[in-house]
Amino acid sequence: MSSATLLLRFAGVFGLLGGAGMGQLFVPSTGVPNQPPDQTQHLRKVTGMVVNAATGAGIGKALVESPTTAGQVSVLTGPDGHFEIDDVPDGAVNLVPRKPGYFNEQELEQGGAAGPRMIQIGESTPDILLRLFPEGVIEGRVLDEAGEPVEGASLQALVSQVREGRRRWEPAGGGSTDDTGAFRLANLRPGQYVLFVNAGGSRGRKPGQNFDLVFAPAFYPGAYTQSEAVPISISAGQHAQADFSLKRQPGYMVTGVVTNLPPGSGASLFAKPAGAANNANMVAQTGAKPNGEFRLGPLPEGDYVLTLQAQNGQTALWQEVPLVIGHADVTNLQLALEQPYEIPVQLTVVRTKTAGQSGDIEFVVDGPTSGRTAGRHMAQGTPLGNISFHSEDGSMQFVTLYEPADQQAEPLVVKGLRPGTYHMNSWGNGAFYVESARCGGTDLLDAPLVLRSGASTPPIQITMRDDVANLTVNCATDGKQQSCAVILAPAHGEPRLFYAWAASSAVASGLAPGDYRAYAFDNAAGLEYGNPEAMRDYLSKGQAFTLEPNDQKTISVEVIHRDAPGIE
Amino acid sequence: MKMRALSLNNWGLPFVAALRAALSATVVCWSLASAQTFPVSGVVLNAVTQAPLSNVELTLTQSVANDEPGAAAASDEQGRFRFEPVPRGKYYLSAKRTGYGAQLLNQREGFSTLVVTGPNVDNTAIVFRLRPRSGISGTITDEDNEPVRNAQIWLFRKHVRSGVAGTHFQANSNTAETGNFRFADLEPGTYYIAVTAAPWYAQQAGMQTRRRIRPGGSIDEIPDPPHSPLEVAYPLTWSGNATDAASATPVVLGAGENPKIAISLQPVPALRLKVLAPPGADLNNGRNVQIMMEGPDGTSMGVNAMQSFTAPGSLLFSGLAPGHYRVQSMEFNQNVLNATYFQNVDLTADQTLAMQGQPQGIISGTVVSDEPLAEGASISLRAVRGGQMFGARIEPKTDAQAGGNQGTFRFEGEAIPRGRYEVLVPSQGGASGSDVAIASLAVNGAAVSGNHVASVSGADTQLTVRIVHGKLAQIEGFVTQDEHPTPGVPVFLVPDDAELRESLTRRDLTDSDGSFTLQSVPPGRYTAFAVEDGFDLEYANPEIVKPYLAQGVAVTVAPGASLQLKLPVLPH
Repeated sequence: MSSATLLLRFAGVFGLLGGAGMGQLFVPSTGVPNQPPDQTQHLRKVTGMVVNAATGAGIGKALVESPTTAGQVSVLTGPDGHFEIDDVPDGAVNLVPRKPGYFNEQELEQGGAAGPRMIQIGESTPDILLRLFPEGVIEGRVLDEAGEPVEGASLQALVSQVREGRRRWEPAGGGSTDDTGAFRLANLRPGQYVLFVNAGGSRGRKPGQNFDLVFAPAFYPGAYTQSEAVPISISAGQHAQADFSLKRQPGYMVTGVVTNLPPGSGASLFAKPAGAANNANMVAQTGAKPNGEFRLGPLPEGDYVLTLQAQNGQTALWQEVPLVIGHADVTNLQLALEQPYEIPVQLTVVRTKTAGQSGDIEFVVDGPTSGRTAGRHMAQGTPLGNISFHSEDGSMQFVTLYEPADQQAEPLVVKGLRPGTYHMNSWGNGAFYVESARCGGTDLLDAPLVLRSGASTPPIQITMRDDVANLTVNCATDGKQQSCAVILAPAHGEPRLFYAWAASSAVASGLAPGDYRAYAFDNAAGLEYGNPEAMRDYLSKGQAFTLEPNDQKTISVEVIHRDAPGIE
Repeated sequence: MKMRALSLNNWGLPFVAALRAALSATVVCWSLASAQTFPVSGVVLNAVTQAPLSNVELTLTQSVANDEPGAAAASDEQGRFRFEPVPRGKYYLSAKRTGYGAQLLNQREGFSTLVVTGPNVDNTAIVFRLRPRSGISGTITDEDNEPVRNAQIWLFRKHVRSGVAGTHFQANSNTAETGNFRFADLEPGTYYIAVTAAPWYAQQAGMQTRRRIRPGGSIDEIPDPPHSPLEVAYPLTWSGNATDAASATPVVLGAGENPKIAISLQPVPALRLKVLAPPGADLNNGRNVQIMMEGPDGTSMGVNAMQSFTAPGSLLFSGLAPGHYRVQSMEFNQNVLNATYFQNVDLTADQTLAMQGQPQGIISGTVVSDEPLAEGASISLRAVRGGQMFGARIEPKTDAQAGGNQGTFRFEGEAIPRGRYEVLVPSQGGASGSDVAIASLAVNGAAVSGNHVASVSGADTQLTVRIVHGKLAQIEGFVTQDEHPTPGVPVFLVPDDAELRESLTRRDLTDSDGSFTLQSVPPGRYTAFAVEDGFDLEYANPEIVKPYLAQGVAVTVAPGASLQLKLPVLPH
């Protein structure tokens, strides 16, 4: 992983934490998970079974963890999967089963989209059924045209994953072939996988040849582009076989010079097939010397994307160019590193509530570009919210919107953006919301930000207001209140996911006034709530409502029942 | 030529040795390069059966990295291969075939024979003996015969390394989710496997131990919870399911063999070790306490233990199997290492260990260089016995008087046990300092004879190291038998100082023209010799190396010298 990517991912984590910490996340009104047990509550012996979700059979020697009066207690199931735990207090508890080779429901949903599984313990609590989902495995062999094993071939799996309501391909582990050409990718969650193999080749030219012999990279079963690949469907516990037959073909070297290198440092270069959606599918990489010279390959004939990266202090320099390999070495390629985009953010804060209730106050700070950019001051400023820009390849840039503390504050800037398409997410801190976000003629609450190479980009203008609304959602099935996952889809902006746990209400604060539609699901695992097409089937089951400025609203929503999580 | 004989006599060597050296040491004259090309061809054989091997991919690449693509060839049905003639130079010859893995010509112990092309060198009858692939694989299971995933596998090999016979650490690996592991491409020999792992379901005391912090910051210790039935651990387990190294079953690996072994881990009740700080010290703040097992060869083996602070000056390790452990405590003051303590413990029951005794001293010092010190330069200590390495960064002095030629260092990253250590001269920016030699070494102001080895006692140690650049020597030469150049013969340059033989001995393997190169030789007195099939020669063992020293060529290496030798082949 490059350092630049690492930074982006760190920013992503920070963004999620920041969003959660700013009060706009729903919290259950009762039954907060993992609270210390109340000594005055009744204590029960809890019994149950841990079963294999794929077969229904009991799982022996699985670990079940539960809060008790003695603290967190762990017990092992018997050979038939049965377990007993003494002294479990009444109320909502989170019983978690674990065993190597299995996923529990929380592990199944990376990112916690399913939320904790709270179980209500009381007088009439029946035997509890806990499910473990056996891991999936893809195994196979990589052979050459003569049927001989290809050793050391690199395998990379991509999984179709729903994250924050949008489906995308994400790296899901990898491995390499052993001396028999065999590989095995385990610990796979249920889902659709695309498998990519890159076996490289050896440099060495026979008399009269102007090429090396290399294996062409391939998506399973032998496709050149990801769109032509055949996805491998993995259900819980499934072992799939995926064999590759690779052919050697001429490979050619790419040489050239990188310019605009930071003094004294080199650059890294890597090539991926033009049809690959993910950087995990790189097929060759190398480094440019401090004088800029590089040698990459050998690469077989085809279309590639060549990416350069270099670090100049805190700035990640970058370039991405198409690369066409024909029937000869590519020589004297001239590549120039470029500075990433830096787009100023102009923040306008509209206050309707002040300590003295003195009415509207517009708060604007001079900025470097237009004279109306909000200030950023880590030490003194107050975060009002944040915005993040997500590219289609999974990278993210994140900016915290600080209320400026003084006129000398560092200006707000979105850094590190490259040409591409970005979806913007925004969060308020609970007391403020983002009323509007525009970049030139683009309404960023409704449309993506498209950055084209060489084109100038106007500043991003954000307006935040404090006349927030609060909402309570009661989820029910046939009139009986139950836990649920709530999707709140504003007329403008990204939909959000919230939870009501253990038959409680879900409370959201800091919402923007406007028109909404609320959906309640028994689980949100794999739900593409950010995709309007995927939500179309549920449109009639959602409840439309309007939040006025400073509104305090309660609605009841009928729960929509979906299939079990993880079985997509 | 006789010039070397005169030099040898001047070094005061015994007359017989000097005469022998005079007869065998000559200066080798290189002929001028030409624009000619030279053929390279030969045959590939199975190293075990001596049968010809077809479909072997061979590559010839220049030994000096120049980014140029290598030349390729493939062996025919009789195992024969032929490259197009190549220019004069030195080349790596590699071969690979399914079931054999990639190997260099005569590759062994990190050395290989280069193909040297030029006039008067015949490279048309190369015999490439390709060893069938050997490896050890196995499966680790638990008490329920279920695979143990992510167990750490330690591979030790009984052989001669750095001239010392013993059981040496070779590699480690982790089991896959199937409990399987594999060490591929091993040289034939005798191996031992050890496994460290923790039961996946184990519940350790540290998980439940909490400190109670009172208003004002004072801390109460909550009594240790009783042992839970799930408070278990796996002992260090060896091949043959032995829990002590002496009972381990060796895995004898022959060429082309791929044995599979099975090791079953059996849980035992886990023990707890409470470590108490020395009087007046606080284990909780500014202190790093580690617990480890010591494997063969002094290998530090990680321990699957949970560590939790329970009260001021008290640290609880839980999840330990009975066994012998080494506890290391390092005390820091404002991120500067203040003192270190070591203590060994045989754990047979829950135990409290009070760290006591005098703390280990701090090792620091000054480097004075004849040239400005490069940014990022570092200095290392290497244990004379066992070879454990410690490193410290050199901070250049910034005052004008130092002129960038002086720096200070302080070993802070790890605690350094008492013992004798070789001082390794600075490496520049992480790369090996191939042209830097020690001119003098002083310990606490007293000059050290031989300039290389310092004793580390319990007290603070101040080193003064004077270094010079461009003073390492290079020795080249030829090995011949009956006046014929002999490729594939190990060559040794062994220092007279027996204590430095593990680290200062230089080795090479002769190339296709019988030539060898011994690089980065510090000034000093040495003996050079070549031994047929001498890969496993215990050159650090005085008794074993004695006859070779007597038959070798004595060499005094002056700073920056460039010497040339001619050596006969000695029988092993």
